[in-house]
Amino acid sequence: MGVVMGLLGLQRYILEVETASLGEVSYRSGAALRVLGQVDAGTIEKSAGLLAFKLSDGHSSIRVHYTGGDTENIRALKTIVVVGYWNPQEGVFKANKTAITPNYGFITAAYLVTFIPMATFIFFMERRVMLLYGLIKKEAVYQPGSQPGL
Amino acid sequence: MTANLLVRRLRYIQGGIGIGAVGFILVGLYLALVSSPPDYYQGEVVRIMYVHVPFAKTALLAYTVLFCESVWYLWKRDPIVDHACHATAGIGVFFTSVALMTGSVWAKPTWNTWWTWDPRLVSFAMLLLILAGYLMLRAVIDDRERQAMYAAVIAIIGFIDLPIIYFSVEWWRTLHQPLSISVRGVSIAGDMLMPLALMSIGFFLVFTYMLIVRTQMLYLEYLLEAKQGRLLGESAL
Repeated sequence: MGVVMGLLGLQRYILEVETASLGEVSYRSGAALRVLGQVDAGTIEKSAGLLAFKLSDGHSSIRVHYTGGDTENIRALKTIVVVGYWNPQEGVFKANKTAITPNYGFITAAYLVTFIPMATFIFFMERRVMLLYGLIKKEAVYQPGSQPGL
Repeated sequence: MTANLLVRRLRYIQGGIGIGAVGFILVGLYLALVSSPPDYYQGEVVRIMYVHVPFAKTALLAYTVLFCESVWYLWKRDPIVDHACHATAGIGVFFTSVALMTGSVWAKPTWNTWWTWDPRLVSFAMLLLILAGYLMLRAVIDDRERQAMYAAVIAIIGFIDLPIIYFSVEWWRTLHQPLSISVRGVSIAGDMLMPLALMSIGFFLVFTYMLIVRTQMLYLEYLLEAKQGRLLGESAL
């Protein structure tokens, strides 16, 4: 079941989460891409049906022309994921959708903090019960004159 | 012979509860991590809810069980119930601590802080302090009957924290999410409610399993101590 969940999780990651870096966007023109970056301050320009801004990740930056809805989600210094394709003629990324940025580090940490201590706690308690049960079952504990301090 | 029979009977019940817990948690994990949708505002990080909320609910369940056991002990003075109280408090500390840690991990990406002096968080941290104080009291008092009685009284008094925790989001203005299920209705999507319910049931069963194991452990320690005490008494004659 773990293997099945892992494969389904991987499939979901590739389809809905994996993002291309800003540096490789221009090499993947035509293909539908998900791109993660931070909106540069002072670069947002609104015109009829179009929102233009600059997206950067500290190494590279690209210009984005966004024609989708939820434009209030696009704010200066916010990290977002835009979905669209690279247009090499205009030198811009044409996006029609935003997606939510994943925070898998926090999710992983929360699940590890839950399951590892729980498994450890149960394991040591069970081990202690087995040990105590064994000690009590030993006939030596009931016989007078046998070694104390078991 | 009595201990042998008791432990064997408990093992059967314990096995069934353990299998049930694993089943609920596995199905809940699949729904939580793969099938349920991300939140509109929080995104994927909302998946932390599927461990944080069940652990918090189980911590409150643990304290409620401790309260009932303490009342029962003061009424019947049954030593097995006292072992169960002691076991419940230890498990309650575990669930409360993990709920606070997972809540802190969830708070960082959501509120941009690891901790805030929010009424819900503070009252939940108080619960951890009450349980820690309960265990420290038991460790400090040597006389078993006095230890059990004082601990039961502390547990009963500390129960006042539970309604404060539960209603803190209604009584005060808080950052914390308000009640999703209340008399006013259900404000959580069905896609999210199902994994949350399954994980909650799974962790309730884990709590029950741990309670059985830990009560056995404390009872067997007490029994061994009593046997060794009798052995030392016989050797001295």
